[in-house]
Amino acid sequence: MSDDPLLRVDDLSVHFGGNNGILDRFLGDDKGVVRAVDNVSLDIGENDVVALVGESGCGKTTLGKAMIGLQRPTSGTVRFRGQDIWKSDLEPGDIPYKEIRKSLQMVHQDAGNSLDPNRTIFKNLNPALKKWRPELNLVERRELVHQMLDTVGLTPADDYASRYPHQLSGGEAQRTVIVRSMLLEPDLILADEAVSALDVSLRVNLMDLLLELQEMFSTSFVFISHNMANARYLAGRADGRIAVMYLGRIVEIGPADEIIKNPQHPYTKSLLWATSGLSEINDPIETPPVRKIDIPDPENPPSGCRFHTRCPEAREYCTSNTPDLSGMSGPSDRHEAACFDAHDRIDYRNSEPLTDDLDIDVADDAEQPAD
Amino acid sequence: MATQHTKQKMPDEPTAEHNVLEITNASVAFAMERGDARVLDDVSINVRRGEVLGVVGESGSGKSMLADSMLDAIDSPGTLTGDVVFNPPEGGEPIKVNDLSKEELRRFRWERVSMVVQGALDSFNPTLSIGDHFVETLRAHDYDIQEGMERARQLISDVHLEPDRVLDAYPHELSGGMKQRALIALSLILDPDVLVMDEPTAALDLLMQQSILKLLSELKTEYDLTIVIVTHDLSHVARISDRLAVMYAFELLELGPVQDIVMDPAHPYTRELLNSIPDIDADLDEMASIEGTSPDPLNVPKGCSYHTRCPLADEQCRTTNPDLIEVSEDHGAACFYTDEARETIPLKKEVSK
Ligand SMILES: Nc1ncnc2c1ncn2[C@@H]1O[C@H](COP(=O)(O)OP(=O)(O)OP(=O)(O)O)[C@@H](O)[C@H]1O
Ligand code: SF4
Ligand code: SF4
Ligand SMILES: [Mg+2]
Repeated sequence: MSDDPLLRVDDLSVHFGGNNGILDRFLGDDKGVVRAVDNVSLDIGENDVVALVGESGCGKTTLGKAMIGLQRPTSGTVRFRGQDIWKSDLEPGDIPYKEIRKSLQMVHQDAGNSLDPNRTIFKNLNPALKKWRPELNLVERRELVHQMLDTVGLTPADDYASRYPHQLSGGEAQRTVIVRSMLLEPDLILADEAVSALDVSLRVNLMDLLLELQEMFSTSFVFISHNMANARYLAGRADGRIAVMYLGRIVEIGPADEIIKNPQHPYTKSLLWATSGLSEINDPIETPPVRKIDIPDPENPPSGCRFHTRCPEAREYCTSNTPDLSGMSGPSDRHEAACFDAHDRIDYRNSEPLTDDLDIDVADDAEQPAD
Repeated sequence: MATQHTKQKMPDEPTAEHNVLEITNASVAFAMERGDARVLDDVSINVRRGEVLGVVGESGSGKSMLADSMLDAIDSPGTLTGDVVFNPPEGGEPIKVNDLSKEELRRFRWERVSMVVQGALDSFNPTLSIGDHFVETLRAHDYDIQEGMERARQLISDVHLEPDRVLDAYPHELSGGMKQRALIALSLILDPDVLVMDEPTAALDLLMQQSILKLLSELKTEYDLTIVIVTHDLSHVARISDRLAVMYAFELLELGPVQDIVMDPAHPYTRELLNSIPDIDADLDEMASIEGTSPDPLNVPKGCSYHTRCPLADEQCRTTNPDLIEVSEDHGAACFYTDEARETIPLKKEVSK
């Protein structure tokens, strides 16, 4: 029991569509199965921070929701302190569902819209407290709300508590929603693009706030982001990990610093290419390090390694064999990648490079030599 | 209104030949319940032929208002005052854009200055195929359809899409990145001189964003375009831009070559903004947000609009609004204390030259 991590995701898949899925209705056939999450395994420890990054539609939000019990998996399990969160018959000694749901909270992308515009901030925060912390009376609830508003810098707290959502700036609304999830003292918070809606000049503040709360309450955090710089900031400061997703799979995971400075998967490298810092303004924009800029149709994902249609390193072998996520030999034993090239597999080395034309910029590559 | 600073006002840049668009004292006002809102305040800026001009600023700073002004496309009830003048590249009479008739404007907006508006992904008609959009546009402007569709196919492959597939597709069948590229192709169909793009990549992934910027720089060379890109993300456009214009609270605070703006900005706001960007290369401990928030249009502070957040603000700043003055060649800032700003607000990121 004590060996169990806070949350263990094991071989988890979530498929949408098929016979009665919503996608079908407008596709009009039953081929439209989207494997939003495909055989993902991941452990989240106590006090752990993981940033999930990837392109839109790669399955980040679906994986996150499945992890906290908001999305039923098609197969595989999610265990909270060792207990399957979808287990149907509870036995004596099991953690009650209510307890699990309270322990796993989410902060949404468009935080502002999730506040009721017709209620004051206190009245927005009160119902959840009443439901999940029934032991508290009104005075204690008010006290707690004020304390938390104070903690996140919404001071004077009694002023903010009596405001309506439209009287808050975007950043303040975002902090209010964070307060709402923290009030329940959860063990894990899933924050879905919670930072990117804010102005650049305010992001660092909000990220610092999240990190402070994480430390103060020893809460574990899963951050979903399409932005490598934000992921690095959050995971880097908390000594956490970055997990990179592509078409339903985690293709690389490791300590933030390792992923940024020593990426192993060609897809991670392409995301980092796209995140050029200000130090590079004097260099012209290079050609993207992928063979195609568009993501394949998720209903019809490529065989073998799913990145092979875009990967600059792809070889014949990658089209029919699927690489597993496995440990890199290197400074960190927590660094794993799913790529034959990264692991220098001999079958991969011996097969032919894929030879389709580079999608981009062929014209720029000067004249062909005459020979 | 005499101000005591000794530096020069930004000299009027070159001449009509160099400036494809000349915007002088542009202001936009909306009548609102709580009073008149000035959402663009007396902005003057020239767009030079062949450049990429990046317009950056936080949400609500008036970037879109400036972009819309370039085509006299402010939604009524908003009103634009000031002058917007277009100088045809082939020579001839300058066109005063805000004097054009409705019909003249309609042509101007496709043939002279074309725009991809913010949130444009929804601007395709869902009941028409992508090809229909091209045909409709050509027809509405009395262009030869066959010839025009040849150009359409070329443009579509220029943005790395397959013409056969994309022309027959309906908008919902394309991903966000494909739609955005199809829109860029459509906006170029009548061969405009200037392309104005408002947050062209905001809804897209980083990889797609960068790829689109790369495409734009290719299109610029191929079609001899002048490009204006409006964005909240400075680090994103820095590499493609020749000059950057920094907006804050509906005003232009700083303008200059991108190297100057990023490596040696003169305005306190620009300096603090650069320090606040979560940059991939920067030291984690050195990033810090700017305290406070930007003003709302009904409540812009008197004097310098940044004084409520500026560490250098003094009495003069609280009462007098500084003009944009030249701080070095071709580089202007609207601040009384640019030397002090450079001394007291160090830049935390190193930019390699
Ligand atoms: N139709 C309108 N009526 C009243 N105010 C408006 C209207 N349209 C825009 N505004 C206001 O004008 C100001 C400037 O808006 P603008 O759209 O130019 O900002 P922006 O810099 O483009 O912001 P963003 O980055 O969010 O797109 C904002 O305060 C906005 O609320
Ligand atoms: S396994 Fe092959 S296709 Fe996949 S990322 Fe590695 S090299 Fe590229
Ligand atoms: S004019 Fe004054 S308040 Fe405004 S930016 Fe300069 S120093 Fe700051
Ligand atoms: Mg805008």
